[in-house]
Amino acid sequence: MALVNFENFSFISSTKKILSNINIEVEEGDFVLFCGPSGSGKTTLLSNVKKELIPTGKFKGKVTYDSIDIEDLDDNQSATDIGFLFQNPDSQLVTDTVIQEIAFPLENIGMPTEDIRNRVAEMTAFFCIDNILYKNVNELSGGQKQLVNLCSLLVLKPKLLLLDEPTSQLDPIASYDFLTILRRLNEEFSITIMITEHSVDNIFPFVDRVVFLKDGSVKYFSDTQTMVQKAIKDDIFKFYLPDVSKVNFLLSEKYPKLKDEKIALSVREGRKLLNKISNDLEVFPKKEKTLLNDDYPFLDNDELIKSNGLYFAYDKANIILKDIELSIRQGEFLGIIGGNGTGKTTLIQLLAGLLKPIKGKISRKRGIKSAYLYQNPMIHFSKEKVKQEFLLNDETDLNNEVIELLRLFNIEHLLDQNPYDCSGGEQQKIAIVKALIKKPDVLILDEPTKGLDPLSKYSLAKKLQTLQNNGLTIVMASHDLSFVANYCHRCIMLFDGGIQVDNNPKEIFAENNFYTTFVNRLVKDYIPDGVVLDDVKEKWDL
Amino acid sequence: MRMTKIHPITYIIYYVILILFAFLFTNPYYNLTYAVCILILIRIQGIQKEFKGSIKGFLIMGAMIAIINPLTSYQGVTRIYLWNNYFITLESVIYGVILSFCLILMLLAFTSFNKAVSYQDLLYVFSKKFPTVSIIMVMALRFIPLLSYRLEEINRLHNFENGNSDKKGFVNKIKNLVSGLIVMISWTFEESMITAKSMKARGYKTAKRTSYLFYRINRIDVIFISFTIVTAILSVLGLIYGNGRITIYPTINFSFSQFPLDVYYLSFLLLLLPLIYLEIKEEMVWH
Repeated sequence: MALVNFENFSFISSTKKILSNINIEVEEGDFVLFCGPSGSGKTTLLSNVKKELIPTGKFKGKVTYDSIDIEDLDDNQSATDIGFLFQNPDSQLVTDTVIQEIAFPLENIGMPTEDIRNRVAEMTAFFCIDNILYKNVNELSGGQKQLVNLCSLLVLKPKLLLLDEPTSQLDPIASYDFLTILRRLNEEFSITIMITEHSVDNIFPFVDRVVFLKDGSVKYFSDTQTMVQKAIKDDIFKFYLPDVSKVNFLLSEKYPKLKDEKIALSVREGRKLLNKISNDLEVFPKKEKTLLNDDYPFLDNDELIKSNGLYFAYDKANIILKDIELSIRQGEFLGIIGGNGTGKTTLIQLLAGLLKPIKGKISRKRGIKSAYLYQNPMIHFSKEKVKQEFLLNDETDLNNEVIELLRLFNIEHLLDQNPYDCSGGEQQKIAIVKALIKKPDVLILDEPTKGLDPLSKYSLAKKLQTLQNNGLTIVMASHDLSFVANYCHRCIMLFDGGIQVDNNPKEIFAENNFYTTFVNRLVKDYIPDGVVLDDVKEKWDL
Repeated sequence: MRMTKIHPITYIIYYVILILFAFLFTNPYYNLTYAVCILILIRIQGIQKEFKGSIKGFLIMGAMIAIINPLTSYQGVTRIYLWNNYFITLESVIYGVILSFCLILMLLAFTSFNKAVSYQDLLYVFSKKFPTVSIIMVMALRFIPLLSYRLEEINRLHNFENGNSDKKGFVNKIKNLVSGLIVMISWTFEESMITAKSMKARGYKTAKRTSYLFYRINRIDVIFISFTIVTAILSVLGLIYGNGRITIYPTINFSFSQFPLDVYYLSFLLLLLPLIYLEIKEEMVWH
């Protein structure tokens, strides 16, 4: 019998239809992934399974949990049996210390002190966070925060976990760790999991079933194998497949031998397939290691920003950046990567001029302007309507240049909305356009792809490329390795407060074994320099 | 980590008595004893840093009281003429000095209290009777640093953007400040909706709240409390019989040669010692 059951469920908010005719059955112990462009109703769908979070609106059909209508669930049962994890690790933390946060739900349901302590002890030992119990939550990294949030749900011993893009704000390593924990919970404790995610490379190999949502209705709903077969032919959902599967499809078109094999979802499966046709595949030698050399088209351009022996720290004990020597040239698209807390944001804020170095010097070419975009675009908005955000000094109407930018970014239809009501991708675009109105020479972006769905990411990349072709210099800090590999011309990896590598992104990822793209992990033995899908296509002529 | 676990209620009772006594006793010998003991306590509690930070403010405030009192109060018989007909009285000078000294002592006792009783302990005491107050306290502790951090970020961005457009001047500064606050408020409202949802989703208000904090009343608490009460009662008795307090108005009846060495003074001294004793005992373990 199904644990969660959507029967002909439709949901209409005050203005528009968000979900229509949903029929989904989730068995106990299932791991179900929900994908779809932003605005397709994923979050609304999950919220309708949690009594406390049901949004206001009209609905038809019904959703049941354990054969009981969600609305009729007992308060206590709904709170303990069904856990809901939100996207942003920060905004769902309620208290100041880790232990207080984990104990919070147990205190809410009125559990005796002794039992609370037992459960907290058990859970924190299982997750190895007993050493941070008394830390202030503001001192934790994003990954740790999300782990604390998860712990705070698990102490209630839930049977069903609903997770709304839980890893979208985390760096790749933290998000991989987080997903591994989910997998353990599912496998070892048979906790049913319903999760929405945008980047599927890590999660696809271990989910049972996938639901692809589009415009509020279920487009596809099946197990992963069938799903990849269907989705690869879909214009939108082909973006939602793991890179490994995409390579697999390309290969099986050329080598019919692979047609009968299962589609590879993980790197392991992918490499097994490659081994099957290894005789037919051309193996390329590893290129000589090169530095940013003569091929690099921007080497002779003007230096716009140059830093000499840059140091930065908030206190004596931990110096964030040490001796940074960097020059940014006209027209470059520079990506800055590195683990959490290595100082990516600090470095770009220094380059932009938001922060002042404690030692060293930053020189900028005379008269250049830079624009800086925060990770969270909300910080850039202060007006009621999007249109007002774009008006400069007492203008009453938008000028032609702005309208052109709006067209480029496809956000003309948002002008009369409140910026806070726009989706994450739209907010990102609005913030970029707002920055571009001032005609900067250098555009500095902090994690612009955070929380974007694959399609918006792709369209953002195209826009950035257009801008770059028009002569704009772009500097971007990012966790998104495949985005950097695909679109940046130069990449810097920060480690231990310094610049570890400064090179062509392909060169960097080809050298790395772990901190690299999925495509590279797959084809490393055949094409050492193959970092993105296009490299593989080109080399193997697919 | 401390090895002597004292119930927060014990601490609270003890410190309340200590803080009250800072005002009740005005005999300079009592005050000096108090000062020496509380300074030793602060030293062993290891809060010299906080102490150094706050003592300056305390001293300035004390000095102001000592100066303002004689300027506003003309009680007392010993007149000191400053110029022409303008005079102040010796008694009101002394009263001001003693008053400000007592105030400083009280603040020192409070500093020590802050170290001894963490807010978690306070929370425990509150959460039994006022569960809502305690959760509001915890949330405030989480959100105040978060908001100040956000405001800092916003200001940084605004300074940056305005530096670009070369707009200066008072009106613009105010405008920027206001727009910064608007950003912070709307941002925070947006996020607090999620906080509220997350609280609701985790069963907030489904039952009467309990607390994970847990303390037992131990033997040490009983001993500590009885000791405090006995010595405090003796000291108050002394106060009733006229020991430990001096009369200032209209004339001062105090001379430094009368050292008040009696049972009342000794019990006052003993009252100040238990925490020092416990802290030293704790230190001894490590040496």
